[in-house]
Formats: sequence, structure tokens, C-alpha cells
Amino acid sequence: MRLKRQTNSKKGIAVFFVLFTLIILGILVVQFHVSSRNAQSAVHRFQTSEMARQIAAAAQEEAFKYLYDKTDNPNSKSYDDLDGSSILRKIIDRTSIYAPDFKRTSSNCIKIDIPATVKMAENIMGDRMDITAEARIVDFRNCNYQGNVFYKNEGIGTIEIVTTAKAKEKYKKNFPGACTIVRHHDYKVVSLLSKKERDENYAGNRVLDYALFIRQGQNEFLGNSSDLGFSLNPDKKVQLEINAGSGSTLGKVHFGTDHDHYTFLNLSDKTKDFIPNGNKVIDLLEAEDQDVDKFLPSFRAGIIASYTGLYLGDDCTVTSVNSITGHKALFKHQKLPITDEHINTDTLKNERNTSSKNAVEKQHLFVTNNNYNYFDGIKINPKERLDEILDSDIRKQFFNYGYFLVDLSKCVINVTVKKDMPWPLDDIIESKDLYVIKESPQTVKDTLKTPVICYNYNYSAIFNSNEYKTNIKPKINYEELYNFIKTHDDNQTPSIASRAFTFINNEYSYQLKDEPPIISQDDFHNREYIGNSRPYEAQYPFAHFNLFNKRYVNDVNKLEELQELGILEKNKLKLRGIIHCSSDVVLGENGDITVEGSGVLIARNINIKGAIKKANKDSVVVLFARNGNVIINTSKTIEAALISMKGPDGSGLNMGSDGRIVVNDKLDLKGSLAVDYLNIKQWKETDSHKITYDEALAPTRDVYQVNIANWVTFERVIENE
Amino acid sequence: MINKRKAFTLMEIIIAMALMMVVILSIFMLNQTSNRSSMDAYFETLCFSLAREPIEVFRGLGYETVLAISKNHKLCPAPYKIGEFTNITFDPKLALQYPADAESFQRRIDLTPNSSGKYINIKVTVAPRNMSKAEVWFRKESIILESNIVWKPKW
Repeated sequence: MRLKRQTNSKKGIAVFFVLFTLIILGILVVQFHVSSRNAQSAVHRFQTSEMARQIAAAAQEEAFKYLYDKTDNPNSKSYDDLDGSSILRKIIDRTSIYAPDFKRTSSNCIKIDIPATVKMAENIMGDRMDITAEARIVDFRNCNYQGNVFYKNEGIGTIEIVTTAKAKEKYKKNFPGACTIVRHHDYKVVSLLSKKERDENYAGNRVLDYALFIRQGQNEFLGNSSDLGFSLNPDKKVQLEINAGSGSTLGKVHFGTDHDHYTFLNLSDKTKDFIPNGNKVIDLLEAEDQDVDKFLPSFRAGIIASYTGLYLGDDCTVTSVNSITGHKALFKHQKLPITDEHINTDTLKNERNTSSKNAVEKQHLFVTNNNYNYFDGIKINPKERLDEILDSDIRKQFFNYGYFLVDLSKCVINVTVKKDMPWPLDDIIESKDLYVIKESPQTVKDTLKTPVICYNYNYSAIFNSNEYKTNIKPKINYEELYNFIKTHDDNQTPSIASRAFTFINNEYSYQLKDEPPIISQDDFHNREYIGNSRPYEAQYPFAHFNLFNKRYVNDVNKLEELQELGILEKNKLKLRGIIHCSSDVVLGENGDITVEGSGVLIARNINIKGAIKKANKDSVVVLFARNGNVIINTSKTIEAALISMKGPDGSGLNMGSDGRIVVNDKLDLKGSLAVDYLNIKQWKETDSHKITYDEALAPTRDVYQVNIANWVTFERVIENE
Repeated sequence: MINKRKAFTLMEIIIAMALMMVVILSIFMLNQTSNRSSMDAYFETLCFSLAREPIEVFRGLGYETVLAISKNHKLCPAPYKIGEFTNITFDPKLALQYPADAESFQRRIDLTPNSSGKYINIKVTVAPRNMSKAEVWFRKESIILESNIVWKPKW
């Protein structure tokens, strides 16, 4: 029997099992290995991203501080850099960096230097990182929630800061992490000072134009009398001296009025020169000979009558007048301020026109008692520039004198002269020019002084009748005269012509200046209170609370919060923008105060017990008692603008109006003072109160304070590779 | 009766075992490497978190407080110490909790004020403690993370 050899079908299967197992194991392990490598790689990316994020975050902080510092000083000279590189100016004007569509380009941003962050990054990883920081404005609102428009560049906006940290190109492989951080900060731009020029939209800082601003000036000095007011100088002797400065722009003085009432300046004969140019005679117009004949139709006939038959001596006699040429008419104007003497003497009693007389007497003057007058109470220097200092509502009545003069100094009278000759010679008849000044007979010469004929075509004729200096008194054709003035007065001072013309109507002019009041009171700060648009209520400084940097600080009567915020540190007051405190603030209790920065401190009452000194002479320091008084309890110099005006309540409707300054010691203020009431009767009795206008308050450009909020309103962190 | 079924040959088994040993050894080594990498990555992540944490806390304290701390180290808040390595401890009673593995690390915080620039450089170094689990698994000697805390207004 043949044995069938059986082959083992399982021969070598162990190797296959092993191989299969190894393959499975190998796959698992490789997967694990790949996974761990990935984890390690991810950690590396995490590590580099974290480093990049820290660098970008540090860059954000440094960039914020950079912007904060660059906008700290509103008077920074860099603002005026001609190359337009000033960051302060870019932010204020929003030139080239405004991107409301959030489009980021290299040209619509401020490039920010961040040396500290760069240095830190180099410490960590050498010079392998590109770190950039830039900022742009992405939103700006120039009006408040009611739609009231702020002044020029004032407003609230959002500034975007973008910082990026990433590896330089050649290190990207080993340093894959990169980070971009975008942050938004709100910022506010508030006007601290405005350029001193007429402007329809004037900022809330308008009162800083004034060395002394009394909002209720007329009410304060009007008193109970319906006709006559109180003196600025009360019964006891208090004297306030105001030095309005010496530069091109002076600190002004303003006495506020109500509708249809005016405050008048009281002058005596001794002080009438305080009105500059008040007594000066100014040339108005000239007219040539033919026009002169129109005004004085009988002048030519008068000359002819005077000269015909005139014996010239040496047997010469004028037989006829052939022509008169070269004579000229001059119109001159003079305004004379009405003084106490005019009112109290017979001057006005002789006034022909009763209505004009009454108009003068019924004005509300500061003074009724001749023992005191305006300048005894308040002295204003420089007095020769008083018309620049006294503003708007202070008015003065004037007598307006118009002079019409005929200048014959170059007048030539051509006459025919007959010289009697002895017989048998014939008489000589010849034509001859007589130059009236040099060659006319003495009797004529006396009357032909320049001016040869002087007419006062208003009331001065009554007071100065002796100015009729010629015996040639041809009557004036007034109609022609006034037509000529109206037609030819093209010197852009219609008030002068009209003023001259008002003589016809027997009216007086009142304003101290020729132009209308500089303050258009309704536009005082471009804010209207609903249903309450009375001008003196509209004259409220720093009214836009939207622009306050900080509001409701110090809610209790303590200074802790001011100190906690770093606004008040020992004897330093650090201002930036407008800071509003709900309660009272006492300054200088523990020593003199040095003020750093520029801004406004608003409180209920501000009690000053020590010197206030500005660290920087160009800075703007305003202390504003908004719902109380400014109380002075020191004789030391206070370098600040003081304001005491009652403000609106929470609704913005109910305005107080009795903010006062209480002066318990000698006032030595270098700055300005704006109050509802001066309250001078309550001042300490001394003659040495002094206000010196700080010329830092009169800049040549608008001065804005930028306040960038520390708080981040939006943040995006982009980690990219 | 003779069993005609043949068993695996000795040679066959020897070859299979040798092959298996070589491969398993390789796999084991690869696995060990991977495991080490994973643990390293884990500890590095933890390490960075421990380094980042005081930076964020100090940034929150603000420039002026940190400046005061840099001048007087006693003012430093409780879990942190300035200028020296401090062991990170796991204590469930503490308000600030760390993972248990954080105990493997020690941390050092250095503050360098720059008065002219009004910023403070904060440098945090995290390193494994001696004889700790991290010392075994964490390859690097330490992790350093830096940032600057810049002055800001308080309002």
C-alpha cells in the first residue's frame, strides 16, 4: 500500500502571524508617533504664538501710551509742524487717518514707535521679529445725542490700534507663531481755547476770552431803580484792577445784559479820554469845487459880491470876478462821549430836541453819584486800548459832530482889475488871479483861514457857535450835502455816514464800537436748551457733558476719589480735559498747589486756600464752580481761570444764575474771572484786588485737548501662521 | 500509528522570534520616543500656562502697583514671589488652583522697571523641580516668557 504523503498546509504560518501582528503594531506605533510629533509641533506653535501674543499685547500698551503722551499737551508746538507729521494734529483734524470703513492701508494710519517692545522681543529671541503698531480713527461723532453740533473739531470718536508680531521671513519656518491684536479705544476732543476772532460757532470756552466776564452784569448793577443802577464801587472802598495784557489780543471785559437793555459806560470829563479816538476828528470825505457850489449855492455869489468893486490898493479896483477854482470841501466827523457833566449840567438842558434829551437821561448808567464812577470801582489797563477791552454790551452814548469845511487855501479867484491911470493915459484893464490866502486883502485873509468856513451841521452848532469864523455865511443846501455823503461814502463804514446822517433825525448812536457786538449771544456755545433760549442762559461755558473726560467724581464731600484716580496727588493737581466733581473741592489746604496738564476742574464749590501755580506757563487751567461759588481764602497768586456760574440741572433745562465769587482775602488772580454776579459788595475791603489776564488764554489757534480712554471697547486677537 | 503532521520547525520559530524581537524592540523604542515627546509637549504647554499666568495678573494690577511691588517685594500678592524660584504647590483650599502636575515646576518672576519709559519688564521663568515627574519628561531646562507692563491712566 502506497502511503500518500500528506503535505502540511500550516507550514510557515507562524511567520505570517508574526508579520501580520508586527504590521498592525507598526501601524499603531507610527500613528502614535505621528500624533506625538503633531502634539509637539502644536506645542511649538502654541509656544511661539504665545510669545507673539505677549509681544503684541505689550506693543498695544506701548502704542496706547505713545498716543496718550503725544496728545497730552494741547499746546504742543509740534502741532504746527509744517510737514503735517504732528500726531496731535492728525488726531484732532482727522486728516488722512480717518477710516470709517475700517479699511487698513499703510497710508491711512499713524505709525507708532514701540522701542521698548522691540527691545523686549530682542531679549527673548534676538532680532527675528517684525513688530509693528499703527493707529487710525474709525469713527467720529461731531454732535451730541440731541443732534446739537459741537464746535469745529470737538467730538467723540473711536481710535483703533493695531499691533502685529510675526517672525521675519527667513525665521518663519522655525518660528511659525504670529499674532495681531486690534483694540478700539473711545476718545474725546474738547476745545479748551478758541481762536479769538468772530465766529458763528463759538466754543464753550468763550468766557476765557475775558479778563472779567459778568453774565448778569446789568441785573447786578441795575438795582431796584427802574432808571438808574448801582455803582460798581460800593459804599465801602473796594477797588479791582484789571490788567488786560499787552499782546495783540487782550483779555476783554463783559457786562452781560438782557434783551433790549444795555449797559452804559459812565465817564466824566476827566475820564472821557478813556474812549480811544472818542474825541478825535477824522476825515470822512472830500468834494471838489463844483460839488461845493452845490452844497453852497450862494457861496459863489457871495465871493463875487465881496470882490466886485473891491479896492486892491495902488489905484486898482476889481471890476468883476471871472472864475473861482481850486476850492475844496472837507467832511470831517467827531464823536464825543457823553459825560456825567453833560447830563448834570446845562448842556443837555439846552438841548432843543426833547426826545433826544430824554433818551440820554433815561439810560441805565452804572453811576448816579458823581463821587463814584466806573473807573473808581474797576481800573482797566491799558486804558488807551479800552475799546479793545470793553466788549459788546458795554455801550456809550456819543454826541456826533459832523464838520463841513471849505478849504480855500488853493482857491484862485480870477478877476478883472481896473487900474486908474492919470490923464491922458487910458485906464489899464487886465485879468488877474488872486490867490485867496496870499494875495487877498487882509479882511478876507482873516476869514479865509483854513478852514475858511466851518459849519457844524448838528447840535454842536449850538454849543460851539463861535466856530462860525467867516463873515461869508452862505446857506447850506442840506439836501445836496446829505446826498453827497450817501453817494460817496464808500469807505465801508456805513455807520459813520449814517451817524453823520442821523443828525437830520436828531438821533444819537450808542455803541462804543462801530461794528455789531462781537458776541452773538444766541450762538454763545452753540447749544440751545429746550424751550429756553434766552441769551444769558445760553452763555454757559463747557456745557457739553458728552465731552467731559470724567463725570461725577467725588460723589461725597471727600477728595479720596480724586486722589485715587491720580487727579489730585498731595499738592499736585493733574488735569486733562474736563473733570466734573459732584461735590465741593478744597484746594491748597495743605500747601500750595501745582497744576500739571491742561483742563477744567468742575465742582460745586471751589474753595481756594493756597496758591495755585501752573507747572507749564502755556497750559490752560480752569477751576469752575458749576453749582456754587468760587471762594477765595488766600492772598497768594492764583494762576487759573476762575468761573462761577450756575449750571443746568439734570434735565438741562433749569439754569441757575447766581454763581458768585466770594473774596475773603486779597485777590491776586493771574488768569481770568467769569461769574454770574461779581458780588463786589461782599469782597474784602481793600484797594488791591487784582486780575491779570493770562495771555496763555489768548492763543493764535484753537486749542483742543484729546482724551483717549484707557478702556478697551473692542478687542480682536488674530493668531496666524 | 505514526502522526504524520509535522510541527513548526525549530528554525522557523527561531526566525520568527528573532524577527519579532527586532521589530518589537524598534516599536518599543519608537513608542518610548513618542511618549516622551507627548509628555514633553504636555509639560511645555503647562509650563507656558504657568509662565503666562503671572504676566496677566500683573498686567491687571497695573503699572503703578507693579512698580510698588518691584520696590517692595512684600507687597506682592500671595502665590507669587519676586526674584526667587518658588515651588508651585497644589492645594485644593487655595483660591487659585493649579493642575496636580503643576507641582512639578518652580517659577521665578523678575521685574525690571524702566522709569524713563514708564514701563516695567516682567520676566517669568518656569523650570522643573528636582526629582519631579517633569524633570524626567520635560526636555528643556526652563521656559522664559517676557512682557512689558506700560503705564496707563486710571480713568
